[in-house]
Amino acid sequence: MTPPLRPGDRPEAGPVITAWEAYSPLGHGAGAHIAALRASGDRSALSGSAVPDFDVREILGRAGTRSMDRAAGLAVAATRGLLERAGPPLAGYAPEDVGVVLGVSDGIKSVMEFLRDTWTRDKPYDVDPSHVPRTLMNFAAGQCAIWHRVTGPNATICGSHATALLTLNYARRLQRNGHARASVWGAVEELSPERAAVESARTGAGAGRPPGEGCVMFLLESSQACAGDRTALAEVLAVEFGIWADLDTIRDSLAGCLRRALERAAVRRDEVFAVAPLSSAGPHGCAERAGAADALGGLPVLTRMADAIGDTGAASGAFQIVELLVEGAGSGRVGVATTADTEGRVGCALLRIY
Amino acid sequence: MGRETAGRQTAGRRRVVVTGLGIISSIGTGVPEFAEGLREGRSGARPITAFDTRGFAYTNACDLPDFAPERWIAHLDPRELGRATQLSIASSVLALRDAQLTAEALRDQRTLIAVGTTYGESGELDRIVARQVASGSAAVETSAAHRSASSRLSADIARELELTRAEAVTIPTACAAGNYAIGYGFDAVADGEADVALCGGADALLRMTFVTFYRLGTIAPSICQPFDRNRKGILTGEGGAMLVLEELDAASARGAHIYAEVLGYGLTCDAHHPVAPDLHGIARCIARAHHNAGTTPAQVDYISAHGTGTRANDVTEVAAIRQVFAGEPPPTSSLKSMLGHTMGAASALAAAGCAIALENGFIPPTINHAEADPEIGIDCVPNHARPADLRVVQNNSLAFAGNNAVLILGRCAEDRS
Repeated sequence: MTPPLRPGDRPEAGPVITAWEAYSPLGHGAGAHIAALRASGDRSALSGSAVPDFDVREILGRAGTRSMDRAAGLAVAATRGLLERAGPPLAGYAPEDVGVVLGVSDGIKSVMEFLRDTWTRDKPYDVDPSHVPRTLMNFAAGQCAIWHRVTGPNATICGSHATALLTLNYARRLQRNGHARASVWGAVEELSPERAAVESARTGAGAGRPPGEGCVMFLLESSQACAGDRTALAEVLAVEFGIWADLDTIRDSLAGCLRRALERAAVRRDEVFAVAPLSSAGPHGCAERAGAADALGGLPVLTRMADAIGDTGAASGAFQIVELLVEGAGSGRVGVATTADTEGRVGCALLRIY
Repeated sequence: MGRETAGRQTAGRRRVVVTGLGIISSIGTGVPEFAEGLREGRSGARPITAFDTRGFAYTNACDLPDFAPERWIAHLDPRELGRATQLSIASSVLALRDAQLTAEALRDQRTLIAVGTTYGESGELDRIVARQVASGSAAVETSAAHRSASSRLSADIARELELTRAEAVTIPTACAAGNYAIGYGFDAVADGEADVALCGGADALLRMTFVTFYRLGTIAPSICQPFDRNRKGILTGEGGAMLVLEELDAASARGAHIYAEVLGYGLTCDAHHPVAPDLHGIARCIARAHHNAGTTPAQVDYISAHGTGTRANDVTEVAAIRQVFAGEPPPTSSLKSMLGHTMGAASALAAAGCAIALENGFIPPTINHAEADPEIGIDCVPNHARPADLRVVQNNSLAFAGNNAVLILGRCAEDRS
């Protein structure tokens, strides 16, 4: 069989992922994640927890980190690792040509700590002004830009468990429409008692996967641009979304979304090697897997990452993509990440993995 | 590789027009009231009633004491929605009505819903914390926990309107978020990936916001006076503004009313300081916006400034404008003098104001202006709206985290090519 053309050989090719870096309960760095996913054996060794040995001030140093929250620390560290992996400063791009697009959730811990001070101190405004920046959802993306001197478009994206796929689509459009030549994009979620308490109040205690945390950052470039030491790990073929009205329609809604994506990307079902679903616990996850099977047939379903690291919230889709990149490496076949959140979104991303 | 500035290839890009405006503001709800407010130079400032202001020396804001979400929200239960989400849905409903589009007509359309916000539903987290502190218990109020997700600002618009083909995204890029969302909608429609974009911003007046800016020393005692020698800071505010964007031919074909054309936008990051604005980052953003729009600064007839009324913002922003505009900058006013700082809604409300100004041929004023600041020295259109033949207008927005977004709107001339 003739190997598929590399995306750089096709002028109409979608943008390509050329590097990634990750922090999660599985460890620090892409290597730790590849090793963990490839290792056979006990899959339930971990089930939701913190990134080990990740103290922001130890990892990044004591300068400029005093008021940095964990989410920003994870994003800055993952971006640092990504850019080191990508080669020369900013992968050879001018600082204004690179976008930073970061998917996040509400910074529940930073906001609640700040608010607690307003209720418990002598005066409501008796708060530490250095705690203000981290109460804003765009703090982490701004920190990535400051730490790594990236002056192109800087965006923050939020959309529950669909966040990472929405973030990928934003980065993809930023490049398609001439706002950036390359993007450092990804998603982050931090573990905190405050987040765990709020999420448990939403879902009912113990109903979901245990909360986990982590960050993945990817380098997205045009297929023409990747050169030198960097080769395409995956081509982004399509990203597609829809909305479900009630639980009964999740399945059809996602199946419809997948069929639109396959059609747009001109991908046949038999080109797809696996699906990596959000796979949340409960009826949403069941409906999601059923919808994926309706549209794609009975394919391998990859959930080792989510099983190992727990519910990584805004970052989940990024870890689903990592699992596809690792499992499909070298295949030239298409991997599909899907999502069905509790707020009404369904979504998918089609990636040809090299 | 890649040393030249990223610039849009405008060839093949579809033209995108504004066909609907949904506005909820302290100076008026809906287009006619809001337009009248801008023309009269109405002030939205009043004493805060949304939360207890004991202990604060200054207690004015631009809030919406009469906002009644049940007037606009029919499908979802407003009690299950946080106030920012109520505002984003209500302004979306208004925008569709104004565009004379029904939710049914949009159901099969590829729709991008993008909502910018600063604080999202942080007000619900405040409710949880207040109850915890008062009760001494760590229990989390379940209904507030459900309402507290800022991701719902966008998803609940799609659920209220049952837009099953929608991509619903919240863009929390603080005080530049409205322009970000409109820019994103513009790209999706111009590129042919969406038929319709419903985009803008929403933020509620929160105790948290007030405390934050009070602590930073940037709350004005009673009124907001951008560009004035004696300006004393911002007034916090709340509101929502959503725009309907469509491709020009599709809009014309259905006989839609066209307010303005979106010509383009630019984004930059200062990468310099978490809260202080940076002259060069802003100037680069203005230049990028014009490059993307295919316009030049010399064509700009009016600048809607970020114009918060703080010492730092106004001097830095005007210096950046001067750096980009070769001669004397065009008239530059701040809608925040009337609306206060509505955070993530601010640049969306200002974009709506720009569209209204383009259509109706007037420049909204900077009200509360008493004495020009020689350090600034621009024509801020003091106190009274001014008739003007506007063709190209520029809408600035800057945010904490060094997030800058500048939007360029133009009068829609059918024969422009």
